[in-house]
Amino acid sequence: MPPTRKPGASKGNKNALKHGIYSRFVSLADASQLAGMSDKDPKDELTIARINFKHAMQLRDSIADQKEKLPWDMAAHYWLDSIINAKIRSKELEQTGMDVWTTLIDATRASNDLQGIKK
Amino acid sequence: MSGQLSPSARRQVKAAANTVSGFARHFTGIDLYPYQRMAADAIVKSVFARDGKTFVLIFSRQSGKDEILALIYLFLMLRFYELGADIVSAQPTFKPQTINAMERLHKRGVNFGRRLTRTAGYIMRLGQARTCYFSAEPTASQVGATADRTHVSSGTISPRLCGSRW
Repeated sequence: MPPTRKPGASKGNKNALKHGIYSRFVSLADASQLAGMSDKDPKDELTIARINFKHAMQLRDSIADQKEKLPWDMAAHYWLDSIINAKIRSKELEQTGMDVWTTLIDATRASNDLQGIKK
Repeated sequence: MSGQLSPSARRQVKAAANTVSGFARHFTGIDLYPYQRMAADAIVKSVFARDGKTFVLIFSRQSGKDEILALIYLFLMLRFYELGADIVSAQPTFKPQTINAMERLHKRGVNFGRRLTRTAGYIMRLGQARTCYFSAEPTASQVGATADRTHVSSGTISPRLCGSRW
């Protein structure tokens, strides 16, 4: 009878090794959800910040003791800052997009004029 | 407004408006191969000159034929954004070629944002310019599609099938 093997991979087997810095922290399910998120506008992050802000405010208001209120008050301030920053960033991105578009259309007009392209 | 962009960014934007290869590189992040660049430049030059030339591109499989077409369409739609132009594109079948081609155009033009729209299911519009996608299937019935700039057939289409339809 052949010697029995222990179940599982042998010591030092790297078949299941995942490469990359984030692979240890991001599960496959998370990665598929991340793939659907925009990397241009901060809408998803803004939604999270708003939800957290709402929860922090609700918790703060539900506590009677002033000392216990303080951490939730600070948390609410933190999320409010995050919301404001995300909105400013969004506005800046929008402005940059408009600048790029204006420059692109100006350049298109100039190229059309140079090459004599008319309607 | 454009004064807020850095000189380097402005140079890139101008290069994107000038040539197909510049557009591909700076607007979509794709570097065209020399054989793609030659074909694209020749087609665009002919369109601008309105000389009515016919081009036949014979590339091997997976060499970027449809990619180059999508980039040419987008570049021409940008150049004719204000002037207006109609591009007619015929594909061998509606499903999957026509759908894939429209999806590809939409994907490559993602930086146009909401300016690039799809109307009536087969028209991609950018400002006054539009690309109409048609199926050349024997069962398809296409009438009244007139291209004032380019008319492109992609894939293997029998001339017998599309001879009198457009």
